[in-house]
Amino acid sequence: MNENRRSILDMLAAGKISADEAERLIAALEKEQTGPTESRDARPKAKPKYLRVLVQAAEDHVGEGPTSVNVRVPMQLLRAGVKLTSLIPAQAREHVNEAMREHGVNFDLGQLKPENLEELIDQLTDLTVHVDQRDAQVRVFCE
Amino acid sequence: MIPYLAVLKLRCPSGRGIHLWIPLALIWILLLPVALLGLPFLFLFCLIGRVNLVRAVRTLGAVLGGLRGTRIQFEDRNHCVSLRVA
Repeated sequence: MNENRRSILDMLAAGKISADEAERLIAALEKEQTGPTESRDARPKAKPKYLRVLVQAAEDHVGEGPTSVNVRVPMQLLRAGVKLTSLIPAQAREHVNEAMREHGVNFDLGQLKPENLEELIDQLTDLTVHVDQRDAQVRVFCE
Repeated sequence: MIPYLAVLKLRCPSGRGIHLWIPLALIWILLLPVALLGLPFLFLFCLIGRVNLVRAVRTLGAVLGGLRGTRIQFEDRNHCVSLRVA
């Protein structure tokens, strides 16, 4: 029990403050103690800089032993890639959208804007794809 | 900022390896006249595709700049290919 809490309880025992007042003071004390840690947790997470793809295969088809692939793609490249979509002529974009619709992806490339991508990248911080098979492992994550 | 260095590492089955430091900054300087020659074609493309030329140039610059930090590595028992862009 810390010093402040003890003094509040002493004041309550001495009848200097009521039980309600003591409760309010203890609550305020607890809030003060937990406040700094909450603000530390509330700090914005660092933005991911890279998209990592790791593949580990136990044995390949030609018997070359365990194979590993390690790819690190900067987020800046993803951002630039999205900006590239704005360079696609409108007619070609329609063709792409139609082809995607045929394959079950109902998405308009024209709606892909850099500001939307920022939001997407912010959410990618928590993304981890982990495919685990007997002879291969694939991990996709951001760092 | 566009990448200025690429490091390529190759390892052959014999165990010998090649370690290449490619000074991209020099390559960009050498390619500059080619880029200037290609500018009219880019202008034509933008005109036909109704694309803003300034935006196209800026986007291509962003793609080049975004390459910094890229790392690709393939490895098996006998071979290893690694490319790092700095």
